[in-house]
Amino acid sequence: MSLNDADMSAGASAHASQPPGERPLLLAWRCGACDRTSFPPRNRCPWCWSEDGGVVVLPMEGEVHSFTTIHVGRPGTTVPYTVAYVDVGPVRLFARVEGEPRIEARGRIRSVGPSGEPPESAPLVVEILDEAQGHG
Amino acid sequence: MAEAYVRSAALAPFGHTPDRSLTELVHPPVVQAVREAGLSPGDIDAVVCGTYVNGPLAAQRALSGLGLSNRPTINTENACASSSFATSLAATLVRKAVYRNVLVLGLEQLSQLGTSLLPLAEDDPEVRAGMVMPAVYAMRAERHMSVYGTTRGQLAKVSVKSHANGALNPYARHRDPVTLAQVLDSRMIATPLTLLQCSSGGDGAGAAVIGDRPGEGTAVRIAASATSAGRETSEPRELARSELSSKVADEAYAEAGIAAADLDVIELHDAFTIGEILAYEALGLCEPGEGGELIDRGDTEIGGSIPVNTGGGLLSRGHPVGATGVAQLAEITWQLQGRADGRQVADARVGLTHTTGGGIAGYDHAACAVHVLVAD
Repeated sequence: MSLNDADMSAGASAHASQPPGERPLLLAWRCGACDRTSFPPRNRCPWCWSEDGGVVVLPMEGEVHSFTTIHVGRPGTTVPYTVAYVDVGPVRLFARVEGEPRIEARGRIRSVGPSGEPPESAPLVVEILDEAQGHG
Repeated sequence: MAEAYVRSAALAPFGHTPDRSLTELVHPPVVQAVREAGLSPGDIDAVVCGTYVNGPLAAQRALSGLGLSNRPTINTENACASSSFATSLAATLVRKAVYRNVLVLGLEQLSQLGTSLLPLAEDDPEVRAGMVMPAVYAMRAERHMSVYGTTRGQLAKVSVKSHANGALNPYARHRDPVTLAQVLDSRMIATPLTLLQCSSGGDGAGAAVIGDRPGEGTAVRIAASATSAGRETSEPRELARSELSSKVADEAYAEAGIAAADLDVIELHDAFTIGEILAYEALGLCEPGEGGELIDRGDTEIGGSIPVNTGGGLLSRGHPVGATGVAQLAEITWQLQGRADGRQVADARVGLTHTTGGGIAGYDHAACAVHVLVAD
C-alpha cells in the first residue's frame, strides 16, 4: 500500500486501509525529523514538512477524553446521538459512541459504521468497553 | 508609531428581525459612530468589515448610499471573532500611521438562514461525522466538570448573570432575567448544555471609528490588540483548558504592560456558559479549575471585584456572529467613558475584550482576539 500526493489533502476519509478479509487499520504518520504523529497519514509531516518518516498503525483501543449526547442536530439527522473524542496512542479521534461513555473510559474503535459504508468514508465509531456505573 | 483610540462606537439593537434589511440594520450605527467621532464621511480613510455568512462584498452592500465607497475597504472573516479581527486590523493600520481614521463594521443577519445551528464547513471530517458547534463546548463542559468538579449549577449561574445584565442593556436581544431553575430546565441541546446556556443567533450590527486622536470626552486608547489562529494538531489536548485564549491574553497583557488584576471590566466570549468559565481561567482571573467558584462568589457581577459581560454577553445580548466583536468593543468603550447607563462599573479605567471564533477539526478554537482598552 502506498500513499501519494493526493493523500496530502485527503482528510480523515483516508484513515483506513482494509486489506481484503482483514479488519480495517487505523494509520497515522510519524515524522522521522520531529517525531510528531499526525493523522490522517500524509507522506509529509504537517508540522515541520519533512518527508522523512513513515506510516504507523494506531492502537484500536483508547481512552475517552470527553463526550456529549447531542439532542439538536442538523436537519435530517436522527437525535439523540453521542459523540466523543478518544485518544488512541498519540492521536485524538472523533467518533460516534456505542455504549454508555464516561470520561477516561476505554473504548475500541471501529471504522465501519453501522450501515456498512466502506471504511474509507465511514465515520469512526467507538464501542465503550468499561460500562458506566450508575448515572453520570 | 501612533496611538489608536476608539473615537466612537455605536450598535444596532440585536434581535431576530428578518424584515430589517442590511442597510436598515447597518446605517444607523454607522451614521451615529461617524458623527459622534466628530467626523464626516470624507474623513474616513478606510473601512474594515467583519461578517461570517453575510458576504460577499458585505461592506460595500451594507454601506450603500452613505458616501463611504471609493476608498480602501477590507471584508474579513474569522467566524465568531470576525469583527474583533477587523478591529485589530484597523488598530494596526492606525498605529502604523497608514490611515488616520478607520471605520470598523461588524454585521450579521442570521435570521435569513432559517436554522438555529451555525453552518460549519461541510468538508470538515468531524462535521460529516456529526459534530455541531454546541457539542464542541459541551465536551469541554463535561471535561471541566470531571477534572475540576465544576457543577451544572455553576455553569447555569453564568446564564443567570448574563440575562440579569442583558435586562439592563437596551441593545440586548434577550432582556428578561432568568432563574437558575429555568436555565437548568430549558431544552437539552448537547449534554450538559441546555438551551439557555447557549447563545442565540439573530441579527445585529455595530460600528466603531478607530483613529489617531481620541474623540470627545474620555479618551479610550487601544493599549493592546493581540490575535492568533488556533494551533492545529491531531494530538491529544486538554479540553478543560482554553490554550488559545491563554496564549492571546498573555500577549495582550504583555503588550499593554498590565496583569489580570489591573482589569476593571471585561467582555469575554460566552457563546456557551462553559465558555465564560474557561475564559475566566484563561484570562487569569482565577487559577485553573476555579472558574466555577468565581461565578459562585459573585465576583463577576456588575458590583463584584471583576465585572464580566456587563452588557449581557453573547448569552443574552445574542450572537449575530459578525457583530459580536464590535458589540464587545462598544460595551467596554462605554464603560470606560461612563456611559453604560444602568449597568455602569464604578471607576472603570482598564477594560478587556476577548473573542474566540469557530470550530474545525484539529483546533480548540480556530481564532482568538484580545484587546485591552485604557481610559487616558
